[in-house]
Amino acid sequence: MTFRYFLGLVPLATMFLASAVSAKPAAQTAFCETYPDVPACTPGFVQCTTCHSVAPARNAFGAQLEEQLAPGAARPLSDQAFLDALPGALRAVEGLDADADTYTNLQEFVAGSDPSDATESPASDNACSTVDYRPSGLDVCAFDPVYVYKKVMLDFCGEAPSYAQMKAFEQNPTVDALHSTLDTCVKSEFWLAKDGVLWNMANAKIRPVQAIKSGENEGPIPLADYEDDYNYFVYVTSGDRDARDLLTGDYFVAREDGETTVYTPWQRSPIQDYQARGYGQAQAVARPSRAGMITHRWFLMSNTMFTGIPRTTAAQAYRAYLGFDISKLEGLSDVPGEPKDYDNKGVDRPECAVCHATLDPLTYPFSRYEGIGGGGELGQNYVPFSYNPGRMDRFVGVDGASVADTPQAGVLFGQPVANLKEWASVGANSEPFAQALVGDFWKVLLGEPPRASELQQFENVWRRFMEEHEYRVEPMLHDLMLTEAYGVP
Amino acid sequence: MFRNSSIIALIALAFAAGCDDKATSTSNNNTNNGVDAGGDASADADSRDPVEQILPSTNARVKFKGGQRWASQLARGLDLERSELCKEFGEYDCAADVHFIALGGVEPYNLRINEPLPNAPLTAPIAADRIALSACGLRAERDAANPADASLFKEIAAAPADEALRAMGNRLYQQLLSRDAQNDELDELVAFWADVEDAGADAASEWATFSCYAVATSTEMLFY
Repeated sequence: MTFRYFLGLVPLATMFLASAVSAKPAAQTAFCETYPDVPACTPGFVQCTTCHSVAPARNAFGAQLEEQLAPGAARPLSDQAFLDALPGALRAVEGLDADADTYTNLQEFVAGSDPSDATESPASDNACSTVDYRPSGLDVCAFDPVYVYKKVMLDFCGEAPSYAQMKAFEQNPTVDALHSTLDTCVKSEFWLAKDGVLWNMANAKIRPVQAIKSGENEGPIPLADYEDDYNYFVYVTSGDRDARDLLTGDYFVAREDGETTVYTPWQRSPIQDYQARGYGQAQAVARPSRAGMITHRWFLMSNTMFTGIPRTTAAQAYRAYLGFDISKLEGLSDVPGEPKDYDNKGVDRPECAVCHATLDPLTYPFSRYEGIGGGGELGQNYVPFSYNPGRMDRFVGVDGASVADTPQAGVLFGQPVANLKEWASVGANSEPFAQALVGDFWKVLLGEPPRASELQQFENVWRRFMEEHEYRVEPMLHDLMLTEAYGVP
Repeated sequence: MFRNSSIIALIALAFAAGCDDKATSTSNNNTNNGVDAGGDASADADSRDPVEQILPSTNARVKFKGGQRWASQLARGLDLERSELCKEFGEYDCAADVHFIALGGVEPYNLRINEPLPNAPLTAPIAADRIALSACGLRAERDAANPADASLFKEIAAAPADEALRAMGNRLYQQLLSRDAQNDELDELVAFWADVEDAGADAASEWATFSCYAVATSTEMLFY
């Protein structure tokens, strides 16, 4: 019961993200109609933070824009009046410099930098093009294979090359030799083993809690085993595998530790898994309803828990695999007529609808997957962590009669989806999925997200990841290794 | 206890070691600088142009290696077992356990630290100092105790010649930074002897320990 009350507070908490004078989510797509080719419009809409710090508070660019937006007209503007005035206002401020970094707002949008942040600016002219000089020992003006060799060894193999290895490489400092080194290192234990690089990349997606872990090294309240999730993530992002399986795979992966860690996929029904591993670890979603890591037991247990309409689950899937954190107003894309507020949480209030018009239709496909429990009375039959088409009926007593009308169909990126399998397929084949996953590797290897001046390189990598490499991570890593961002000292 | 003069010289040395702003000399253009791969010093002068123009990196991006990678490299470079590096109370590994988070580690299961801390905490350099100093001290002690089987400080003596200091210094750079030392870097190590030589019987040990420490905690060793 405690969990019910706690989770009921989640939508209430989101109310405080916006006041009655809310942001205009419709502006996100309207902005891109004026500037369709700027990097920020790659997903088809810009982030709320283009104009707002935390909506409705405006950032420096938003403040300039507001002054030019139907000046003299009574506030608040209707949505239509706002949309009519926006293109002209954008044009009116594009020559201004909101963050006083000497670059105009338009120059910043075109370059992919933030016009409200003076620490971000379009790339300055490359000094290398104007100075004919190469310092001895380190080529800061061009891709340097020796520099990259050392980085590849440290990033992927986890060890600096020895003196002898450096000398040997310097005898043959070719890109082919780099590819060969990378091929070797992505098979290293440093990269693949438990608590290795790939494993740790999954931390923020899985969000493990040892106290409720089941299986090996179980905690005091064993509810699910997150090692299934880690094993799966490492397996899918290594070897010659399609990374879209993170959202669409219907199998699981076992790990055998040793001098060389071995990952092996397996396929069992819930009953078979119960018989093989017992209740504490059994995966309860049957194969036809599986959608990669977002239907794993740990994911459903730790996110859905006891809620009827599991918004937290959808928000975590959106954040972890598609790169949009709704709590930061990212990835908002209104669905007309939403939110319906099937569970009577008040999310249809204007200040809540800013986010819930996106979040709720994003959530409906998750509503048929059981968490720990919740709703109804003790003794009602259901299998925790399983797929249950009739699940919503059980929450009528808690959330009101209309919760039973909650559809299984939802909307992701403006595209209707019939169920979570379709949700996962649309997500896995989307540009945001590729951007988010490649972005994760970029951050690990470069220590930070792509800089404004590197956005084109970044886009080249994730587009090739989608189009040339068919979502296989290791070929993408070879591309990333060859970028100027990684390879120029 | 180490004397103040040693500490001051050490700080200067640490800045000099591996921090040459002209180059880190890891590339194929690297020159031998008069020292052969075996670590023997040469009297050949460095031919670098003293007014060489410095072009800053357009990327200007370095990453901390993290405690585990750095400690492994340190152990290998000093010919020590990884398990021989610093242990608090003689039991808890400094890099892998006690200072793990401070040195860029993660612990998602209990502490919910899913990613390395965005900024190194105040204790990070202290921890690095502690690990480096203990490892370097151990290497110096072993080499002094058994010079015939020394791995780094083969030429250590009560009053080593400049050539001996240069040979040992170059070996330090080769084993820790995987490159030959530049002449000015070796000059710093030779000059450092003057700061420790009045320590008498401890001079050789201090020189070896702190020369090693300076290279092991240099920017080039800690970052990449």
